[in-house]
Amino acid sequence: MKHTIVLNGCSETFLSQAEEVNGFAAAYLKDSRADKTIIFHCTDRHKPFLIANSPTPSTQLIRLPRYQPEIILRTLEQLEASSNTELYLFPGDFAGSELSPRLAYRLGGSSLIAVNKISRTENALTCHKAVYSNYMQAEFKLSERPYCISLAKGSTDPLPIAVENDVEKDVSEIDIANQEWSNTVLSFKGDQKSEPEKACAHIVDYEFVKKEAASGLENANYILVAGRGVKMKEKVDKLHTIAGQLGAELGVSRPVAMSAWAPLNKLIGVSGIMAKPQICITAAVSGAAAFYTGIEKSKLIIAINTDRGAPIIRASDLAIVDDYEKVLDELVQIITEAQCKGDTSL
Amino acid sequence: MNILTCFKIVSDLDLMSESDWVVEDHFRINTSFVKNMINPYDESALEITLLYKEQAEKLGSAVNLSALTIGSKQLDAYLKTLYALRFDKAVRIENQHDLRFSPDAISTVIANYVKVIKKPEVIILGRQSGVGDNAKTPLLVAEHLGWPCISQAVKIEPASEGLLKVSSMADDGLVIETIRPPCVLSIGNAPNSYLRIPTLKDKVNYGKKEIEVLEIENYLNQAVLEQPSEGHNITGLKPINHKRQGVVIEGSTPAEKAQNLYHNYLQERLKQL
Amino acid sequence: MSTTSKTQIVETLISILGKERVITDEEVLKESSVDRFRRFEEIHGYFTQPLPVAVVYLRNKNEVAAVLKFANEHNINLVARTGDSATEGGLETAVENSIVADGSEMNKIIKIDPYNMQATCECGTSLQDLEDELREQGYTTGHSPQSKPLAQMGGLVATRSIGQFSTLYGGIEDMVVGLEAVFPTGEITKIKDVPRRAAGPDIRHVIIGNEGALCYITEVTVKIFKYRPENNYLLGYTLNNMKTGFEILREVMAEGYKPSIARLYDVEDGASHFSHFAEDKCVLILMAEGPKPLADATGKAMEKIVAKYVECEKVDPRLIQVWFDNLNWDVSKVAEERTEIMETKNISNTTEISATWDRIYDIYKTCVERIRNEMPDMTLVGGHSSHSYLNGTNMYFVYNYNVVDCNPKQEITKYHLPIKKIIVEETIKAGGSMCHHHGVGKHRTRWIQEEYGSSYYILETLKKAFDPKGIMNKGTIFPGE
Repeated sequence: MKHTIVLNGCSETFLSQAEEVNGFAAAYLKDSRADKTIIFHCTDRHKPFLIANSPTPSTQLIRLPRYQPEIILRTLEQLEASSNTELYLFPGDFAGSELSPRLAYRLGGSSLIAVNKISRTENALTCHKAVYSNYMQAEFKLSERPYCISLAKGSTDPLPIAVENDVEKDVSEIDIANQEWSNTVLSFKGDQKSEPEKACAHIVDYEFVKKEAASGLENANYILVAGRGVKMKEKVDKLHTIAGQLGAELGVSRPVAMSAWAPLNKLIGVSGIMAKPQICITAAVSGAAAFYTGIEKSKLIIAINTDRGAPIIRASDLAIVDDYEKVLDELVQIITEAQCKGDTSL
Repeated sequence: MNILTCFKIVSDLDLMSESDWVVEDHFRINTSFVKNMINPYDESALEITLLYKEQAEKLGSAVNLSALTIGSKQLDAYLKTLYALRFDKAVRIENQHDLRFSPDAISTVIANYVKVIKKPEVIILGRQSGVGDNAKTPLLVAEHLGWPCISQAVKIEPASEGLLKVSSMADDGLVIETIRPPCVLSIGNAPNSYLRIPTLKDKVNYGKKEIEVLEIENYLNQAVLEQPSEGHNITGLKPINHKRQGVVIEGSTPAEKAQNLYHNYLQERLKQL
Repeated sequence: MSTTSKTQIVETLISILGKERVITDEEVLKESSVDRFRRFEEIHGYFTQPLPVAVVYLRNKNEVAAVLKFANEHNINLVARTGDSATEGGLETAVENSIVADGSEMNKIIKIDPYNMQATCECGTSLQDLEDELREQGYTTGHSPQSKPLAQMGGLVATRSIGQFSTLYGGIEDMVVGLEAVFPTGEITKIKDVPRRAAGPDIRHVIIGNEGALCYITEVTVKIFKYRPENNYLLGYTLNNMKTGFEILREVMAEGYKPSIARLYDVEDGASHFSHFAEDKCVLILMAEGPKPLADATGKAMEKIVAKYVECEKVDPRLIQVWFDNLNWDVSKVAEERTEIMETKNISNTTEISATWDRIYDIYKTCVERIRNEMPDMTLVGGHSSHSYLNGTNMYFVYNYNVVDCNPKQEITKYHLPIKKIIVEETIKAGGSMCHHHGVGKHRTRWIQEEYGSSYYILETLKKAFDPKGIMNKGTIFPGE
């Protein structure tokens, strides 16, 4: 099979897109031949970075004024009309999931969004994805080529792009960024409208507001939660320090907040914050239903509690039955040492 | 301005218990035992539509709202609610076929309906719904009609001279565009997640208007209806186990347990944060 | 009221309990000044009640006694609290300088005694924890109020709570075997756990349902039952008229059957649960449970009774099973409710009453009609009967409305109280009881004398005898001055 990767180089998320798709390709496309990576970008300044992190030896750069799906689709449609690529691979972000089905439509292929696994069979591509609100895993057979799929976020581990100094990267470039275009408003001059211009003729005004780095407990990726079992304010303060050392945000259960050992805006659970971190460590939390609902959406829950029978133990992924203070002190030490050695990216 | 908002009624899958997830013939799952609800993205879409109308009318421009759903008679209760909330027209395209994994067919029906009535300049739909989780319908409606599509829209406001100001989420920020219809707007994670609730009086006064019922065969040819997922067929379906394992990390001292936790579970995950 | 200053109160409480357990943080005090009755105000950031002077966390009966004694001696109002899931204003701090005495840290299950079929626990034990623990051993409390995930044993007893299986197991008053409670003088009293006695009046009932207005419950012993869900015999029907439904419920009870669930929903209330199979229909649900021969026999006999009523159509029991599995407050839904109220300005409230069979339908009909006609902005007016007795049943009115054209602080006076007034007045007029299972709280006290009639003398005398200074949860059950 021959596959092409499409990435959005206009976005600051480029590196994670590249590593995500690279991880997926390494897992499921070992036998496939990578044709090229198409990267849309807005500024020449980033070109070396984009090329260096292109997951394939061959890279097609397309410069345009900004991420604009209608222009990108028109360009891809023309560029790929006579290509014999069988599979287009898009990352699982907003851009990837809007471009893949529309491109498939235009190229007469078939598409699937949020794919977490693929395998190739005779005349078809077998794709797996979650359906029924993530309660079921379905298998689909795509039979119309080209197959345009976008990935399910977090389905495979990201894989950094290997640096191969001796391999010459093959780069070709197209520039469709009209001189008259600014980054904010696209202005059109003259009667001869270009294809890309026509594709976004509906836009009268454009403004982009960069996303503030998400902060606070609601958006935290890593949280440490103190429960009733910590017994006093000083211990909560200490956990606050530990959270800082671990790189986590501190949250508390209702008894802790209602004892004023931590401000109410740290309260997790009913009447408080519904957290959805990648990692949640609970310390001396018993796991009452009213609390648990606040951490239920965590990817990984690690419970530390002296009581093996506490409800939180059964509701966690990993549990340590021991004194939370001793365990966390050790953990801080391990992580600090690892940081000194440069073991982690923390 | 004429706006068409499309919505889908889905089963509240969170009410299903583990033993209810039984795969039957043709990869069907019986979810008829649980309550229905408006697909959450579509619920946002409907509320955003009403908010737009309120604002536009304050500015003195007339807005005509239609709502469209595809399915059986059971859905009429929802359409009546929309009448009570002052939608001008409620349409149901009668369908008994299994179109769970056929966004191509659904979008064809919507696009053909729009071509026939020649009306709406703006089509608003939720971006995804939780049975098929296809997340393709709004995009394909736009493709069928040759209209632009703004995805991940979160806010729609009236602008001057029949233009719309649409805010949408991008991967690294928020895009605010003023656009000239026609267009398709696909609603993402909008701050308005609930549809307002009509009063009993409004239900009596406005909720009894007749629902327009159309036949799907008029908007999709028979061959497609019989083979609606041409090009991407479902060939397998199985439950995903969400149960947390509660694996107890062993060790004779707290230090050992912390080491075990870090090296076997945390280290790699921390790198990915 | 008290002449003791805030500072003096706090200092004394600290001397009794230590600094850690006397909370004066303003945010905590605000949260502790209200319960779910004022959640519309609270969600919008308004706190209209006097803030308590402190929230104290009590760990044993001696601490309870010391704090009550201090409050009594200095005329300081004290509000007893455990799970904090009250709905009728019982936990509002109605007067300045109140102490909120929280018992949620007294949460030990003291003894599960399967041989004598009873379990003893401290007041702060959450019902969910007790139930989970019991079920692991094959037993159940038989108590299943919607608030189960949040409510704790002290509060459940103090409000005379009831659960969904009450028609078989009874209300909490039928389950409580013995109790320990502390009175304002600091007197610690223990009522022993015996099967029955005829040694004078049953004094458990002075404590059960006192809503913190007479004493502070510290320990409870309840009956336990064998848990055999595999024998559940579940029946569901749709029907057109509430009147028929009440007739069926009456017949089931009068014939001497003991279903665990006997519920009848009207069209409006039912629509929010059953619209996927019972559009524009009332819904009747019956369940038999217990030992298999008994459950089967009861189930079949009830089926036979319902079969006589031609308008009843049987539905697939699986539809009812799914409803049943999701009956209790899902705590995540409680959290979502806040967002929903904030976004839609629509709120749902309830009032529960009871009456004999000959009156219940008229009360239901009159109240629903009056609310629909007299109140503005209503989005749902309906209800269900969920607890039946030999001589009558209850009615749980559900009413939702859009709060429009008023300040969030006026939600209660513009909507909630006028609706409650209609229901309470119509019920009392018809000879029913204005409170079936949420307790009186602070907003139905104005009708308490009418509720009791000449027997108010007995109730009032309890207050005079046990709380002569009136320091226990002022404004609850007994109207304030």
